[in-house]
Parts: sequence; structure tokens; C-alpha cells
Amino acid sequence: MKKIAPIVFFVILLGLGFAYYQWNKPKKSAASEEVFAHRNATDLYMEFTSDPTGAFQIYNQRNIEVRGVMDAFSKDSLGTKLTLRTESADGGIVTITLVDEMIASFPVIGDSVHIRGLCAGYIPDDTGLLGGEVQLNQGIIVN
Amino acid sequence: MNKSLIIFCIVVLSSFQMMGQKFFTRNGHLGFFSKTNMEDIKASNESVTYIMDLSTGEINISALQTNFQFEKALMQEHYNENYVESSKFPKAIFKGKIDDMSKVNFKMEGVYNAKVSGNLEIHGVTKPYSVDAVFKVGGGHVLAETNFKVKCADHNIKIESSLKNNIAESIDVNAKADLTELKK
Repeated sequence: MKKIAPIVFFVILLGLGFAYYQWNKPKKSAASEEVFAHRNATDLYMEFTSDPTGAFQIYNQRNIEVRGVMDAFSKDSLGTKLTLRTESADGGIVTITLVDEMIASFPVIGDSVHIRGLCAGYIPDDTGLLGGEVQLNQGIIVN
Repeated sequence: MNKSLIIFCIVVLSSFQMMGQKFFTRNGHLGFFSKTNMEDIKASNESVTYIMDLSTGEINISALQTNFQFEKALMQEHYNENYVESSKFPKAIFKGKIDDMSKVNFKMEGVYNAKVSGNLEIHGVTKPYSVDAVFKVGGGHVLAETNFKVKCADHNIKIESSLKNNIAESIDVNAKADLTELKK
């Protein structure tokens, strides 16, 4: 009994440590995850429009490095979001919500940008008016 | 013509322009809150697409499940992997309509209460919903908001018996969007 007690204590301690880590582990972000793929905004968007399910299976929650031209930018209490235009006929876009961090200078509309983000998926345009949207989150600006 | 009459004419004319148009946002809010004695769980998604046809009152809402942000990474993981299974069912979709369009006058600035009915798809299960919504019309914007409850069981979201005390059976949902004209 005396021999087992320290082992049981150690196992419980290990379990508690694991539970504490799990509960407090940081969220995944584009800064912490390995880059899965490099794409330009148009190519990424076209992959989703041609095969939404297949593309989602490939890119879901993967860190993607995307190049594109910035079409819109918003920063408010709810977060910072960049929109990249694509050359698709329907006017589709790629949007990236950035992680909360101090960024010295933001790009301006029309700038060529280079960002990374975790792929959240694709919202198609059922109306035919808006164009679809590929969404990335927990993003960072590379340059 | 006095000044107030001119202002009145501008307001009326600009309001007439709003009819027959589609309003939208890609930055809409969708949030939910689960409250139990054991734990409060809150999440929100600020990248929700809302499209509304002002002439028919039709409303379409699409949200990606993996865009819901939780306080804890572990909660977010459990939500996506165990409950909504976002790799299989990546979107939450609402398609509905204002029940009685005579209760909302998009031609005139004001605050209007109306019922919206439609189908909500979560976790691959579509259920009919009828909710009370508020539409605030003014300044070229339509601010739409509603609060309602979603029962996990209605959408085949199973909660393990060990976590029954941590997750509410009925989740409070808040949907809010500032819609502007869709110009093509």
C-alpha cells in the first residue's frame, strides 16, 4: 500500500496538470500554427466556388498564407477585418479577421497585402448579387 | 417652400428609394449564451452574412460555425468537434420572412416590431422558428435585432450526461445586424 500511494499521487497530479493545461491552453492562431498552404486570393476563392465541400475538407482550420489586394478594412470594438478582392466574375472576396494585437501600421485600400489566417470556410452567394466569401480568422499580417 | 418641408421631402424620397432594394451586411453578429448553475458559456460570431429584401421581407442569414469565438480554446474545440460537428455541418443558415409586412414601413424612419418566421438549419437539422424582431429604419440603414431560444435537442445536438449540468438545454441566441443597401 505504501508503495502504491506515491504512484497514485503522481498520477492524480499529472491528471490535474493536464486538465489545467487543457482549460487554459491558448487559442490557435495564424501566428502559432504551421503554414499549410500559400495561395493568392483569387485561386483560394475559385477552389471554394468550384468544389465547396472538397475545399472545406482540405482547408478547414488550416493556416493559409494569402496574397491579394485589399478592398476594405474595418476596425472597431468587435475586431479588425481585412477584405481582399478576387478576380472572380461574381465579385467574391476573401476576408480575414485579425487576432487582437498591436499593429503599428495597417495597409490601405488598394495595397497589395500578404496575410495568414485559419480557414473558417466559405459562404456562397445564393442571391447572385453579392458574390461569395471565403473567411479566415485568427489572422496576422505578414507584410 | 420652408426648410422643414424640404427636409420632409428629402426623407420621404430617400425612403422610397429603399423599397425594392436588397440590404445586406457581411459583418453581422450572432451570439449565444448558455447559463447553468455550474458554468456560463458565451460565444459570438461577427462575420455573419445577412441579406434582406425590403420589398418582400425575405431574410437570409449565413454563419460559419468555426467563426464562433469562445472565451476558452477548449470550449471552442468541444463546440466544433463534439456538438455542432462543424467539419460535417460548417454553416448555420436561417431563411425566413417578415410575417406581416404591413407592420414594417421601410419608407419611413422609425422603430418597428414584427414577427419573422422561417427555417433555421443547425447541425444539419432544419427546424421552423417564429421570432419577435425589431427593425430600426433610418439614415440609409436598417438595424435588425432579435433574441430567441434554441433547444440543443431540436437540432440533434447531444450533450453527454456528465456535462448536462454545464450546458443549458435551451440556449439564448442574439442576432443583430446593421444592414445597408446592396449596390451592384
